[in-house]
Amino acid sequence: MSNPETNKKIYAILNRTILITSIFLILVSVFFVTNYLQLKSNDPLNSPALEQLYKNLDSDPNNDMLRDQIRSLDLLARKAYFTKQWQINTGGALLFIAIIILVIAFKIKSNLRQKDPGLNKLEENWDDRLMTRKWLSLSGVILLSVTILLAILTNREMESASFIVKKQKDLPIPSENEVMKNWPAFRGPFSNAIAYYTNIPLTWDGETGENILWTVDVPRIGFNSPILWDDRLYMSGADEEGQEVFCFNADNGELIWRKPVSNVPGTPDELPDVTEDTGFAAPTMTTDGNHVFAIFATGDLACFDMDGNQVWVKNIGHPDNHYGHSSSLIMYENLLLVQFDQADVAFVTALDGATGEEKWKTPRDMGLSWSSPILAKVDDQWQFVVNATPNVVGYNPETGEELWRMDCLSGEVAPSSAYADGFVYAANDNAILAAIKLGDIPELAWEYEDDLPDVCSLVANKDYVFMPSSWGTVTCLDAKTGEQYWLQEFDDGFYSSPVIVGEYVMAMDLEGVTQIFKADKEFELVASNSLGMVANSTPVIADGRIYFRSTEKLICIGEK
Amino acid sequence: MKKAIFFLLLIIQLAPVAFSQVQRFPKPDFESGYEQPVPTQPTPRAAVWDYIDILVLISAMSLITWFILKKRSRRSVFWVMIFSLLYFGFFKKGCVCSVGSVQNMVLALFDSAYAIPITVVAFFSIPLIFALFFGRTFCAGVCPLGALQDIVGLKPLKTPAWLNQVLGIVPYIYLGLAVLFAATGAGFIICRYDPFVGIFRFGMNSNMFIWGVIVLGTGVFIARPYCRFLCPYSVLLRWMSLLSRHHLTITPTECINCHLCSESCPYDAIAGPSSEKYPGNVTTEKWKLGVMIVAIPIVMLISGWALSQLSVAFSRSHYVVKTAEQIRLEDTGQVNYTTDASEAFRGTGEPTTGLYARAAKVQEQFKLGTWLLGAFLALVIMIKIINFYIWKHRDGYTPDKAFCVSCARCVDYCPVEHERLAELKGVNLIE
Repeated sequence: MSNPETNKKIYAILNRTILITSIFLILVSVFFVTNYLQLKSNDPLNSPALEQLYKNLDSDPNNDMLRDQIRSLDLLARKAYFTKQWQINTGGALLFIAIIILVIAFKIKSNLRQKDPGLNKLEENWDDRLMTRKWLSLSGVILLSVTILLAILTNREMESASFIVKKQKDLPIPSENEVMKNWPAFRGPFSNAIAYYTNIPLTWDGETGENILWTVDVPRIGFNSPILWDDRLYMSGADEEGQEVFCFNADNGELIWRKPVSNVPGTPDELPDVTEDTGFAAPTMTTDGNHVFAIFATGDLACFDMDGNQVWVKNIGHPDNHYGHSSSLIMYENLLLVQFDQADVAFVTALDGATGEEKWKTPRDMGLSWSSPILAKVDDQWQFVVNATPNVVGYNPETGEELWRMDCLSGEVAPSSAYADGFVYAANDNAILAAIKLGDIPELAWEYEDDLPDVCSLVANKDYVFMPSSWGTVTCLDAKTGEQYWLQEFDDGFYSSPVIVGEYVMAMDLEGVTQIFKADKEFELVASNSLGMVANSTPVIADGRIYFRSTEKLICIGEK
Repeated sequence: MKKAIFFLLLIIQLAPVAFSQVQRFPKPDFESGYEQPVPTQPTPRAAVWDYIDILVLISAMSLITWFILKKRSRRSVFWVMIFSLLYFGFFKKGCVCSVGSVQNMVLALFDSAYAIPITVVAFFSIPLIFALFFGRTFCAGVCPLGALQDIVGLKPLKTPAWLNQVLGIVPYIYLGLAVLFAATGAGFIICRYDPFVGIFRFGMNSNMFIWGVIVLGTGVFIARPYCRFLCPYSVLLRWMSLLSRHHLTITPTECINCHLCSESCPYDAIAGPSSEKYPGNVTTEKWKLGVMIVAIPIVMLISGWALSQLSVAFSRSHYVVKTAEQIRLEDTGQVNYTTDASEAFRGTGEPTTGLYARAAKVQEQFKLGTWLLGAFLALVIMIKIINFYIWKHRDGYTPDKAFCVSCARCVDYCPVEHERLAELKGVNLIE
């Protein structure tokens, strides 16, 4: 190798090798690229000719000649394909060998030309060290900064993409006082129709606009009542076209967000049959101040955060009843409680509000129900009270354990119970009004049989029970004995449930006229206020304001 | 240089065809009397091959170590390298390799259900044991990945010292991520992004091909780019090699400071002589060093916290989290398509809450893992910086034990070595 003459010869041989190998490589590569493109662009199995033959076979399936033609063409295509594939594989191996030869040739050439390295540096350079230090520090700072920046920029997305359920302390459970100050469910706090605020106007007139602060359209029909948390009102709407949840500004009626509930896995292929006055969105929503929840006649149950981001959605079952599902939702701490009494299946269940995860599910041996559950605090223990034919049942909301039951209802149960001072009051047309005294062994304290409701619920405080009916009567009874104090007949019946506001009872009739009378053993009508439109929902009582929902409007009442 | 560019372009031009994926061919779509062959499992490889592989590895390691330390012959190293490339690369198809074995070892540590094969343990530990005593002789010529790069290193250029050090951080990041992903069961990223395995197997997808071309193409000008700036296993080898007591020496006796070896080293892995006196302001430098040492735990905490904030993004590489995300998107109506994974999950009948709980568990593992990874990387960088505050006096040129791959190129250039060889042959070079 050290002989210059020999080196020269080797050099020449290497040059020729490189030249020949390069030409070979280029030729093979041209062949390869052509073959590759042909293979990619041609799809012999889907050639027009083959497609046409397939069509012909479809119209003449017994034509054996046609079948043979297709088989021949198919076989040809496969042969062509595998031949090309073989060519590519073989060519690949040839290319690889050629590349190796080329590398070796270059390598030997490079070794032959190797020069002695120069002598230009004799000592480790201090500046190099400083420079390295600087760059390492800078790299560290850049890496850390980029990481922190990414962490900040993606924080929200990361939070929403996390499956780690936040600890309870991270998602605040509203206190009883907070619940009382808001209107978080059907018939308000604990679904018991007792208002916290009493500073509401006692007169208004939808015709003249007296004390009507604003009226806005609700984008989609629904017979559910609004709920309120802080300064926002939430309600749902649904028809054959879709299901939606709405959020309004309680101050000015501005629609803050509306979100569809669609593409829910497990939702029925066909919409259930519902009556015109029940619709697809009869159940009232609920909230725990962190999320809002809505259920529809399809059994679709959706959870949104307060800003309208969908958190989870699921179908809880296909409601099977002849009016349409109408049992409203209610929250116990962070648990969403659902009553689902259908013709084919009946159960109550609790879902984790944040995740939708089922916490407990208790089957029920009951009939259909359109009633909504309430929460009753008995000796500092909360109970989840549910009405259906034929029983009123109390459950432990934390476990779903049945605590007691009372056989006192029959027929189609729609009214919800009322609770006051250790008594649960449940009533239904064709049954009785039952006053159930809760204790170690619940007992029927008294019963009442006349002028019973079939749609609206009843309301009670520690002294009186007030019971409107669909036929326009309102009955006032002694809460402890069942003694009738008075019976008042109005012009129109009641579907909207009554609410106790301080010393008054408010009940809106079928014509949208709210009768306000004293919550007393003597009947005294305080006002009859027309909304100017038909509305059957239960009003929201807030700080100085009342909110009504008709099927298409949202109305705010307040002192002007 | 021109030839090197020509060679590179040639590879880029030809390889996509050679390594294109084999397309599946559709089945005939009506009855033709053809019977589909029954799928069969390939017969397992005879266990004896495992022991043969270990034997070959030990033999190759012993041989190359002997060539490097005793024979001091670059040529012999080269032939072992060729053998390793053919055997461990093309014959064994690049698997099992020591580089990827890190992941198997980690998985075995974290997953009690995973039974690690003896071959993998051997491939992981034998090179490290040799490195502990003799330096990175494995890198010199037994690792097929290194061998392939060594061969294509036609025109290696010198890179600045600071750049070498900065890019030298990358293997730590890669190792950290590989450990994180293997420990959580997310996957073996070293294997997934191995740029050479497709070449060894004569088949790869287009992304892998591009990646392989980039690495090999870079290797024409930057010697062994994967080994120096990516290889996660090299981190472990560096640590071991630093402790080695019988590392390759450039000169057989005393260095004459001719500097030829340093210029010949394509890896910038030779440290030159340095003065006895500290060149900088000692007081200022001591202060800076003190601040750096005190800052270590603080920087580790910040780095750990920062990286843990991205843990959810990292966790998306895990199939459980990926499936759970898809299921959640489907369930919340945010997508109107399904994936194979989501359909398969629904087929199991498992409630989504169970899947979500498993995803949450994986994400918690990633949270902890990214915390540790962030802290580890901060520690690495800080130690690297501190290392440059420490001045070591050297009289002559010595291999940097961490970065030297013991290729023995420098030996060929050493005049003292030449003299030794001449003496052995009875030739007086001075005359």
